[in-house]
Amino acid sequence: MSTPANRTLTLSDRWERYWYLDDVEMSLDALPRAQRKEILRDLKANLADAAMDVGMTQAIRDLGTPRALARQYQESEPRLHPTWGIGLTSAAVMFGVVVAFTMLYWLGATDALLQQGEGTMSTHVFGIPAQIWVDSGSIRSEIGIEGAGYIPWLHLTLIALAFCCGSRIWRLWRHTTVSG
Amino acid sequence: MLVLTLLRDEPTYGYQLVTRLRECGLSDVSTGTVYPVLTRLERDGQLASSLVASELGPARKYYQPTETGLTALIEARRRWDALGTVVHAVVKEQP
Repeated sequence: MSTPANRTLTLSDRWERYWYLDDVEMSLDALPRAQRKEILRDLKANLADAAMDVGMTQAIRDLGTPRALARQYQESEPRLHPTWGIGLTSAAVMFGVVVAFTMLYWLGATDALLQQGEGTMSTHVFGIPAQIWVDSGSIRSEIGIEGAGYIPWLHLTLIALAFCCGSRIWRLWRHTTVSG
Repeated sequence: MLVLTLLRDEPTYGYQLVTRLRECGLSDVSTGTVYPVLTRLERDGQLASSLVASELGPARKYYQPTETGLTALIEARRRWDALGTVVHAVVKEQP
């Protein structure tokens, strides 16, 4: 931590500023990349200026929490943009969850049939038709191929919902204007 | 309007502007409030910035209003005066 008397940024100051700006950037996801870079560039310069007067620790403290500062920047923007990156990540996570649950269900059903020794099970996993056969210790199974034109609507709906919520897609229609 | 007015009087770097605003009576104003305004005004072309060498350390980023900013300031001042006139008249009528 530097004091105002030091006047120049120490390694510790730069480290402190780096982590603070990193946190701010994470909270600025709603803004376009170019805008985020512009804000961070300005913020970096302003922090350096303030640090010469009051030290980096105090300069950062004056700014408040990274999330609160990011909110200030977002509120001063004429319009908030959808967060496509988070939307894609949410959709990918939901896809993984659906696949994991499908596999777990399939394993559970297969295990139950193995306990019986042999048998056939026709079931639905998240709405997808599935068949499992256990015959003298050998296992055959089919998931989701009973109907050639089958569309897993439930899966697609869940993934689309995750994408819409994650990307805050409603921002395409809602315009937020804030005067400076 | 206050930011543009103070910067018109004297080009200033970000933290110094906050200090000047506090000295003017806005004791609660913070850097977290002023920096976003500076960034937006600069992007809107109402402020220009330049790096000025400092004896205390690295060059500092000084802001000053552009022609667009000065025009916006005049307009803001006109609207503020109009609002002030209305508010003053209404308040004066109240007991």
